[in-house]
Amino acid sequence: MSEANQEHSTEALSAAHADLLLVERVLGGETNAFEELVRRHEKRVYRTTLAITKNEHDAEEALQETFIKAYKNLGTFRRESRFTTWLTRIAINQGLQILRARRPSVSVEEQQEQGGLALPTRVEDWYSNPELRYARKQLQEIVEDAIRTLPEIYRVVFIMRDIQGESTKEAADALGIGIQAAKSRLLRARLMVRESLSRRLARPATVKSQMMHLMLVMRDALSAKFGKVHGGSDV
Amino acid sequence: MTVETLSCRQVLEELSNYLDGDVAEELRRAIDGHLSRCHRCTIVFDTTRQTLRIVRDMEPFDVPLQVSARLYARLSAVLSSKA
Repeated sequence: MSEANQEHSTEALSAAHADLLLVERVLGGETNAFEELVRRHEKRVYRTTLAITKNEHDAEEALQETFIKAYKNLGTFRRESRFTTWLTRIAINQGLQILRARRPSVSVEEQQEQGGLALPTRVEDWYSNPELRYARKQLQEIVEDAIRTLPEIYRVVFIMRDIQGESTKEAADALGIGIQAAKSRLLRARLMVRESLSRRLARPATVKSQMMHLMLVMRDALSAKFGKVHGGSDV
Repeated sequence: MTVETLSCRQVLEELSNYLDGDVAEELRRAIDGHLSRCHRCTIVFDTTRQTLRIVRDMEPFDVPLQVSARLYARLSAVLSSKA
């Protein structure tokens, strides 16, 4: 589906419209209409805060703060923009606030965009059906690990776009950045996730790398069976 | 109309847009031309496409029940205090 189609699909438009109607009702005094808004968007918000904070405790705190803040400031929401964009923006900020409180030495917002584009280092073809080589749960963990290692600014765009299926424009608006900047971050995020997955999914060219690959697969299988194995170097 | 010869770096810069169907016709043709000649870039494009397929096929995400319950509990305190 092209960008334009995604942005203006009938489904997306009627969902946005439904949100606006609910906002009107809440502002008109129907407080339980807000619960309906929460039901519609708690998944999206939680996924966003989890993406930023990387731990469930902080993500939950940010989730609650997001909806409380949204409720208290609902009067400031401008109806020309999408409710989801506005809400996601609050969620991102809440997540970043908590992250900053945990790691005051790291200025998350000032994270530099990587300068030149890093050319991929792992250019090996993959096995054609990764889903057959790995159990679904294992593959899920591998993907989650890959996403977790992304820098925050890339992780949020990636999650919004490639997991939540939102348009690049929505992601850009939610982050308060331009579309080109959002596209640039998305490109880098996708390349980094690809690079991470390549470690597990590439078909090794030499016998030696085949052996190392086999060890890696066994280690994954063991940790899936006996719990996560921390430490140790990646092949 | 000549199709410009793109470098690997130039093609890579357009990878994301290409996969989203978000490149102009002429640029897409130039990229396809490069891919037909460049094995490395073809692998990067294919494996990125596979990456997105795998990511999108992941288990549907659910908010854990207790998280949801605690959210509604906290909200009803806030909502009722405003009423």
